[in-house]
Amino acid sequence: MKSQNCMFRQGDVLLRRVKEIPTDAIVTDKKDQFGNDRIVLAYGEVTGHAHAIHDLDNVDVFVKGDGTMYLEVKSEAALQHEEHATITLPAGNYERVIQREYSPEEIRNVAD
Amino acid sequence: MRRIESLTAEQERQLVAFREEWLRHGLSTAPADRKRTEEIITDFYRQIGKTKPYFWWSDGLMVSQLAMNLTLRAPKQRAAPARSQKPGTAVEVENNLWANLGANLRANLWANLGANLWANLWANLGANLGDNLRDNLGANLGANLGANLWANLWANLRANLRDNLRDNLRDNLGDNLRANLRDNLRDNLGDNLRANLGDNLGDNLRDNLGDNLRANLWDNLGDNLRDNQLEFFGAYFWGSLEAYWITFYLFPHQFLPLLKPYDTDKANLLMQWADLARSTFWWWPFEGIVFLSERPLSIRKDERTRLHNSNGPAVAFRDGWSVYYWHGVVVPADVIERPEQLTAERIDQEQNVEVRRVMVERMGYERYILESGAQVVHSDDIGILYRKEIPGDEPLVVVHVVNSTPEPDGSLKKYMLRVPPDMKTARGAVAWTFGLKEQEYQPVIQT
Repeated sequence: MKSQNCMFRQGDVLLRRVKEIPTDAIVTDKKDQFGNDRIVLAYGEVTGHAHAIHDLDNVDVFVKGDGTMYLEVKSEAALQHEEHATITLPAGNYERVIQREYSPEEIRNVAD
Repeated sequence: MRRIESLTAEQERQLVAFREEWLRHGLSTAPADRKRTEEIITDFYRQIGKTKPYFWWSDGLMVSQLAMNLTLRAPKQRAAPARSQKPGTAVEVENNLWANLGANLRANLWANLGANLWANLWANLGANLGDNLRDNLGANLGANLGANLWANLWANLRANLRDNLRDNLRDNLGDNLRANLRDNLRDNLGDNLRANLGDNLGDNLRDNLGDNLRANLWDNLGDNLRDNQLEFFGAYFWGSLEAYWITFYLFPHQFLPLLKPYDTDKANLLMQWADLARSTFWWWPFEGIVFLSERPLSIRKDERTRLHNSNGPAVAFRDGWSVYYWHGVVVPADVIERPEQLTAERIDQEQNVEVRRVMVERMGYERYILESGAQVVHSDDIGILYRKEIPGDEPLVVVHVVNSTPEPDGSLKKYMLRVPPDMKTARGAVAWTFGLKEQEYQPVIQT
């Protein structure tokens, strides 16, 4: 499978395969904002729902200074969300992209 | 004295706490401390050689404006316009009111009320004080404080509080008040303000001005004001929103005592202004009388400190006057309170681009697009791309995306996202929302 074709979308979160994780991205705790053990890719603004991975042994998380998040999936891991079907991520390196919306004055991230 | 190059850690902490404390004063919605306010203003009058004035308190800015319109507009100004004087017209009613008022006011008040003391107070207590403080503080800071500290004070107090209090709130209120007086007052006056004015006039004036005047005012007020251009009294004096000006000079006085930046007279005057900013809102000084407004009842902002409230007025006063904002854009009340009643037709007629954008957002892209006869530009397996031309503004282009995971009832949830106006295909539009080019967007799984 070509790397540029290997992308997964779950609602407003897209994971795209990258060859490698940038060296300036820093390893980050696998905790959510409440200190629970899970990797959260995005929170819903209103619902409290989240795009999350619980297979912590299979995945490492890296974050760059500008907030870009990367996942190193060492072996298959499940991406879950309360309102979406689960996606099984194959091993590989991924960049997380959050869906954005156009506005004449500014560009805002979408939160579902 | 040793030159101070920077604040100590303790003083830094005090500076932040001081700024936060004054921001709270500036945005306070508590009732005014009328006793303290009247003491200070009475002393201001004394300092410029004037006797204690009569204090006419109002529940808000609009009623203050109306009170000034009723009492201060000179009869000769009002008779002058060469407008129709037919019976029953505004001018006729106006002249009738003034004929009645005149007998009372001229005898009792007008002779003493005419002069606006703003300039006098400003020259003696405001500008003078400002110059003095600036010179004193400047000289002292120049001699004794490093440039960093000056910049620190400026950024923390003057600039920060100015953004929050003056630019954001004060200017907005002033502009809105003026616009409201000229454009909307007629509609609002009938019930809300008339009742307020009635209460005010009843309570405040009955004893002071007698039943004759009150009865005349009350009877004539509604019709008279409803049909008249009112005068906007813009030259208010400072209250809580002007804290930004005062605190910049106050901090060195309170927290850098070794500096002794001001002589005793100026320091005392500064403390009076600070006390006033803690006690009341705007006021308008005249010979013999001061009009004062209570503070707002509520002030609401968004996370970027722009005036904003998604389900009511952003600023509301106790007199019933209020203004509605959506992220800093002033909009009609119903745009906030009854967005479900907005129609595409009304939005398309709105002339103000910013207001129109807010209306579309409040109505919802989905409903607006579907009701406004937007054109389907393109559709594919990813979604549908719509385009709506908007006169005077860039086109509204949205992509209707379909979630791939069925809802519990089996339906597919759709949502609309606004995309740049140059989008040509639904796939390209969705690719844009993820920062990708059309040909790059090839998800193997979508849920």
